[in-house]
Amino acid sequence: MAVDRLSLTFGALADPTRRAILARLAKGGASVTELAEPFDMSLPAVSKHLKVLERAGLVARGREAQWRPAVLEARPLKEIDEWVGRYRVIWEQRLDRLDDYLKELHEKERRHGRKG
Amino acid sequence: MAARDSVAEDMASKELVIERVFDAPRERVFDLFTQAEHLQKWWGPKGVSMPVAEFDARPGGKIFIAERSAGGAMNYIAGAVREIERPSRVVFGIHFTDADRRRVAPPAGSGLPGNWTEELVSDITFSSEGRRTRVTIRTLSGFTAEWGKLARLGWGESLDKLDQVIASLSER
Repeated sequence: MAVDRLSLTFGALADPTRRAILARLAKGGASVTELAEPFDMSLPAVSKHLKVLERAGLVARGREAQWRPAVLEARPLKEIDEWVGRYRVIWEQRLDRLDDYLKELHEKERRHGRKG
Repeated sequence: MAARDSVAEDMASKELVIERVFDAPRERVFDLFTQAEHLQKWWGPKGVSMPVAEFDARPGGKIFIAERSAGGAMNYIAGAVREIERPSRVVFGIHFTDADRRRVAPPAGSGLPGNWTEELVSDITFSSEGRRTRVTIRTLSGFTAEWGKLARLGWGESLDKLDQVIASLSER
């Protein structure tokens, strides 16, 4: 996965309103009007947020219906999930090294006669 | 609304949790996490020497780590201890810097997105299990893990979409 793509996703997710819009869309597609309701926001303001989400590939807009419902696109979120997985691996490897180091220390102490 | 509750519940536990049990007493394991001369030995990637490590083990104490990659390039990590209580808990936040400790974007190869600006906070607890010690690391608190979970939820709720995504991935 290109890092730029991930940056774009993070950029889009940095805004709490956009995160709330995505949380709403996780429950099913919605029109701009439906999305605007809970936020006390103008339709143009919601449309602007939707455009940012669309550019990041997080939202797709239906073309079939007049009201063009917005739907959640799972793939960029899945990429973040994979990134979290990689971060977990970094920590797991770090703990492997700590375990090795701990055994080395034990061994060194044992050789110096400080038997535990 | 059960679905809504489960989303809210999932988003409340928004962090990555990693656990490991070490065959050593709590004080010893705690010290290996909070003393520079020990951190230097295990923190960095395999095959990477750590010429500099500082870990001022008190609240507000500075952390600074300079890693030299196998190719010779340097990565610098700086941060601060937020909470520390020997031998049960340490919380610290870190970010990437240049050699003068000024904050920089995460370097290529760090695995982090280039525009990542948040502190990487780790909350580490140490609990005794007989003569062993369980270490629990909570990290990435914030929207990263939160959205990873939402991704799984989104997929679970829309199998059609899952099929489409798999299809689009296998086309590549």
